[in-house]
Amino acid sequence: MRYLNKGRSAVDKPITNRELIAEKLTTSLSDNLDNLEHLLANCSDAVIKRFKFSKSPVKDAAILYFDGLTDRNEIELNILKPLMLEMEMLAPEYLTLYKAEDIFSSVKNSILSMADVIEISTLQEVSYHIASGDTVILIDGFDLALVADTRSWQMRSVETPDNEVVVFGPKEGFNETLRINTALLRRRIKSTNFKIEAMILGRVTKTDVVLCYIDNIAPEGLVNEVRERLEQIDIDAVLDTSYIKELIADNPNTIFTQFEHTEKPDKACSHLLEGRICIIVDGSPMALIAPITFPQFLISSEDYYTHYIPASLFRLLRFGAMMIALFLPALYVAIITYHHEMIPTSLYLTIAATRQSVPFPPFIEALLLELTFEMLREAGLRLPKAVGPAVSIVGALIIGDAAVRAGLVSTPMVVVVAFTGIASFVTPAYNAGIIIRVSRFGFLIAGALLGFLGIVISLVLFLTRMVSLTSFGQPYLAPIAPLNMQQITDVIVRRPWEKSNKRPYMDGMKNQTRQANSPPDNKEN
Amino acid sequence: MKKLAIILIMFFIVFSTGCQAVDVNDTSLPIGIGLDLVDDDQFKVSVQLAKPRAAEEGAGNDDEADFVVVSETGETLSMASRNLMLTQTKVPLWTYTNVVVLGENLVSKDPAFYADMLARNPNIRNNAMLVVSKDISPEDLLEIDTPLEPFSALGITKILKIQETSLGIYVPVNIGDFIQKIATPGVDLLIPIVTVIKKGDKELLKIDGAAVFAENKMLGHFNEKECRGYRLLNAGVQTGGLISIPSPGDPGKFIAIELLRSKTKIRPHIDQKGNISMSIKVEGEGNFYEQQTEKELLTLKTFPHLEKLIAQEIEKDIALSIIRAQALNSDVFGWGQLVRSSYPKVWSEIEANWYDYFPDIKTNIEVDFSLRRSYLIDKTVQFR
Repeated sequence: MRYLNKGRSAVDKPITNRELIAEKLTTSLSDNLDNLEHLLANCSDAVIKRFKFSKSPVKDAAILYFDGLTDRNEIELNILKPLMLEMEMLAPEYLTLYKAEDIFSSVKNSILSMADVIEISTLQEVSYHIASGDTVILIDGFDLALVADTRSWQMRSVETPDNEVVVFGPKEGFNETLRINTALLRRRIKSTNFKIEAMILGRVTKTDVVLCYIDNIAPEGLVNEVRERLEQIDIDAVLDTSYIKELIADNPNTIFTQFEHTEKPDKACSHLLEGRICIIVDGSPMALIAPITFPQFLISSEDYYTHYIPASLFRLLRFGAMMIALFLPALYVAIITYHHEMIPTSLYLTIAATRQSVPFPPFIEALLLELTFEMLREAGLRLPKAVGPAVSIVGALIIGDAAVRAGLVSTPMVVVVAFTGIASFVTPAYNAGIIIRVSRFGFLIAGALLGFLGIVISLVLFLTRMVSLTSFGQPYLAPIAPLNMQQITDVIVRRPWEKSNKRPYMDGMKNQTRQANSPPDNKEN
Repeated sequence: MKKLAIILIMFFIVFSTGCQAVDVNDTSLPIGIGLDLVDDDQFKVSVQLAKPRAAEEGAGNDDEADFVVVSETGETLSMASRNLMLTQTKVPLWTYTNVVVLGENLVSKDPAFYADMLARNPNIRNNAMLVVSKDISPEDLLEIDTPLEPFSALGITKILKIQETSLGIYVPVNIGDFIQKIATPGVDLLIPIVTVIKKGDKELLKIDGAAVFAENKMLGHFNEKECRGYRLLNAGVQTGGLISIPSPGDPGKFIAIELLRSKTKIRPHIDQKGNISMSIKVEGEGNFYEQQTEKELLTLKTFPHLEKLIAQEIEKDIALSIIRAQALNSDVFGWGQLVRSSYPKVWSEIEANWYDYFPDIKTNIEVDFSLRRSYLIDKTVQFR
């Protein structure tokens, strides 16, 4: 009963945060600060400092910021010091000047020695800006607030990315701060045509997201499409680029990823220069690149930093390695279960001798070893660095040696799985590696069920699926299917720069000319 | 519903194929098989089965053979080979057969006893070599070890291949050639013979001559020289081989000439009277390989003479094999086929009694031999 009464008595319910945040600022500083204090209740890192400035008449004012996100030194030097001290020392002619205007705009235009000052008018904006690291200045008597950019926080420096290691070429990598990342791109493309469109995604997180493209290269339709899809996103949080990836993909329900991730600004730039777009999310060092086609996963940015002959050979090697990573276990199992006549006599005898004591059929043997390998790999990824070597020792000793000695698996199978493992690491793009790792099991099962027939059937399904996919309207297997002779030379081998007069073609591309000495019919600008 | 039906149809199509899973552990490899006729009505199939042996234990114990030979008889060859399953625990993978040894008894009888099986059986590959065993049954022949080669059946095929380039005597015959020749009129078969020789207490396999077939039955043999002549008479380019000629002016001493390549063209001619003759043109090239005298044999003067001597020797080998073939009345050279392609009308008339014409065919042999190199020295080693 008591509780019921208590519930009834609460007639004038306190205004909720959700309602409050939609309010506009009022002219009364104390009202505004009350509201803000209410919003910022229990936010121990929020700082609200009241102060007075301008002796005639004395004005009440306050600054708000989140400690840790701002450069306190800058607040003191460029906001508080001009307002509280220097304003009084101004020459009389200036004093009259600022008194002529209203005090608000003179503070904004003449007093604050900050590079970036804007006006805002709602509590929503106030809360967004202080959470982003800006400092908000409220002055009594105005229903507007000033925002000074004082963002500064502890961040990782620009480091070499761990996941995309190159021997030649730039070693800088993106970090978690959006501004640094866009700066890294801008530093490489010094053109005003390089556009960085900003938007805010995530209802709770209010994450800054930028869409980068080169205006006179990227197809307009593509940029509009990406922008539209980004704007349609309505999610509470965007903590990494991968959130966006799934939300804007043409076909999200497939393992064939239609985007490329990169941590390397030089790689992002090379994609931008080929007319693709790049999405960067604040808080993630991964830039998302679209549209991407499957053959591009075999291209490493290093190919373009090496002489084209070795680069072409490496590319062929990578292609071969991908084939091995996809098919070798399946082929091995299919051959030794169904197609014995494919093996040379002496090899057959070796295999037969090693398999004599193995109790499992080849398929089970392959599956066990492949799964063990994947587990070791997964374990190795997440392990603390101190434990890592222990796992590799266990993996190498127990799987490699003890299992063979105990007669649980045959040596050729260990060789096949190890070889496949090495081959799967050759693919430069990690997310393409996932496609290969997953598909391999499909092929393995098909090969064990039906031999070569099964492998061929599953290959047909695999290719059919890939051909049916698009990445922002680009066919997923382009330029192999549909075949484009002009482009395919730069996919299978690396074309010398001298011969790459044109950029890879994309529907609606504005300017395909890459070098001035290209055929005259393509000279546009 | 339609989708389900399509999926079901695909499913059944896929699972109705003939793929049959056999674990490696349940298979054995027949490296060589021997076919023979025993007691005039029983067919015997002997199989040399390889013993799988891991690399670690492999090389160590030489005493134990790397293979076992098992035999079984039956009314037909296929029956005999299936009868093996009564004693064997593993499925033989017949595709691994490298050599098929035909017993003397079998090849002297009706070719239909074994030719149909070799042609029809899908498991035995067409590139398996064919040899005839002489003075020994195929079963015993397969039991004999070859030195340095774990499986003697594989050894036979290797011997056949290697002698062709380094010695140039025998022409290997595989099942494909056999079937083609046995089914073509105007060509007879010549299959290398494998026999056993004794070296001390060791028995060795040796290729010794070739079995000449007439009317598709084994009729006689070619010896080494005749086989060499046969090889040179084979149309097209032959590479490799070694021949020795008597050293000019030094009776009892010899010169070895390495044959690089030879090219043979055979043209049949039929004159108005209906006499058939063959013009045989051989162009050879070779290297001077060894001499047994101190004489300078390679001078500008002696050179043409030497070339002529070699040409004569080649001509002699060719003539010998022709004489032998005509004596046995076996058209191993396939001259009937040559007549058929050059004179199709005449051939249709004489095809039925081709073997009445064959022994009387005149030949006109022209050999042109050129010496090319003399390897490390061009002068003779002088002993002082």
